[in-house]
Amino acid sequence: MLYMRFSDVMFRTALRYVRNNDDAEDIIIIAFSKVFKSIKSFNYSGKGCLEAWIRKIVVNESLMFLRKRYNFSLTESLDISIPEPDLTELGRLEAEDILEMINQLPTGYRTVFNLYVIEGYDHQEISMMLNISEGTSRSQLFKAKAILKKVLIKEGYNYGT
Amino acid sequence: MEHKSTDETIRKKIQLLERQPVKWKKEEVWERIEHNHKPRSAWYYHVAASLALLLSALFTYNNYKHYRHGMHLKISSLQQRLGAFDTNKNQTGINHIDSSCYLSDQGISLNHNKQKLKRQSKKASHKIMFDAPGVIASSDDDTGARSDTLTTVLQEVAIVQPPRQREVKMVIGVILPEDSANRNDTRRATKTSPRFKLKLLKEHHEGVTPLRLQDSEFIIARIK
Repeated sequence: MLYMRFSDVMFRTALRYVRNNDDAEDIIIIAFSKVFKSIKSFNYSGKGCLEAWIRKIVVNESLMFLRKRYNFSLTESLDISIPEPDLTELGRLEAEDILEMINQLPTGYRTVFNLYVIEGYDHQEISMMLNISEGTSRSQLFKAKAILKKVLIKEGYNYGT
Repeated sequence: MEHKSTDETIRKKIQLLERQPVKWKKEEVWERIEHNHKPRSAWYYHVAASLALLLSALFTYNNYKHYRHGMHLKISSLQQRLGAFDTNKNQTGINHIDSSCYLSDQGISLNHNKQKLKRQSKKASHKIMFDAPGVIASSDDDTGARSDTLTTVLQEVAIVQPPRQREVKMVIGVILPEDSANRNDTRRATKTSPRFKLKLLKEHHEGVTPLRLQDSEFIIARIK
């Protein structure tokens, strides 16, 4: 059954965006209702495409939920000339620890980080999804990574500084 | 390039973690999807909408009560005028309170019976307009003082068509089709519009309609 197979992973995905169980459940209700409603229009194109399709719906619903409560365009766009912070140490952590650190990020930074790093969207796609400029998207990702690096240093991870 | 590989590592780790079983209200959420329940946040909107509906119903009821009270006052005043009309009919020159009237799209044209008004210098004539379903108001096209009483009487009274008899509280008068054979006025008989006779009852019948009315007949009544 579709729900039994994908609901756990989709719930966790939604939770990564909204950080609240009740809100994530609401998103799952709306998203799966849409999935069942438009399943006839789904075209199978290979292994994993159904999960990707459902994930896309869940991510979109999560973003719609966040857009009602948060203005993503409030963060100013920065001209970033310095290199992007290195998160090698973050990649070495346990998945739970990484997720916990991501969840500590402010909404705007966390959302862009989730979309870029975890879902794999590029800045052009993110700018359209959040109705922001590409520069803002880049800026938010840069700031998210900078915060994560700062926390890692604070926790005692060696970055050679 | 290095960043890309770090991002890829993080992505894989998170996606693997998200495939692990997690404790949440899976069954409850499924039931809500199955029963097409709206998300929790939608309930707030439902509650707000219900409250708005309740307030609007209260407001409407309050207005209705106010309207009923106003109508009651108007009807009381009308009854007093009817009483005064009965008392003073000899002085006004109208021996009977029968009048003929014409129904048209715009309302009822009312003409006092000529014979009964022959002592009057002017022909009393009123055009009674519907300004709401079942309720009539009148506009004079004659300024004769004798007409005023009748006009006043007819104002703000409901015209009820049977079989709405159960709604009738007090019957004040009746409008019924005039038999063409009994028409005295031959000029009127040539008119294409149907001719009706208005009869205001001297005694007001409470509760039920005093006459068995046909579908084409109307009663002027105080309605509940």
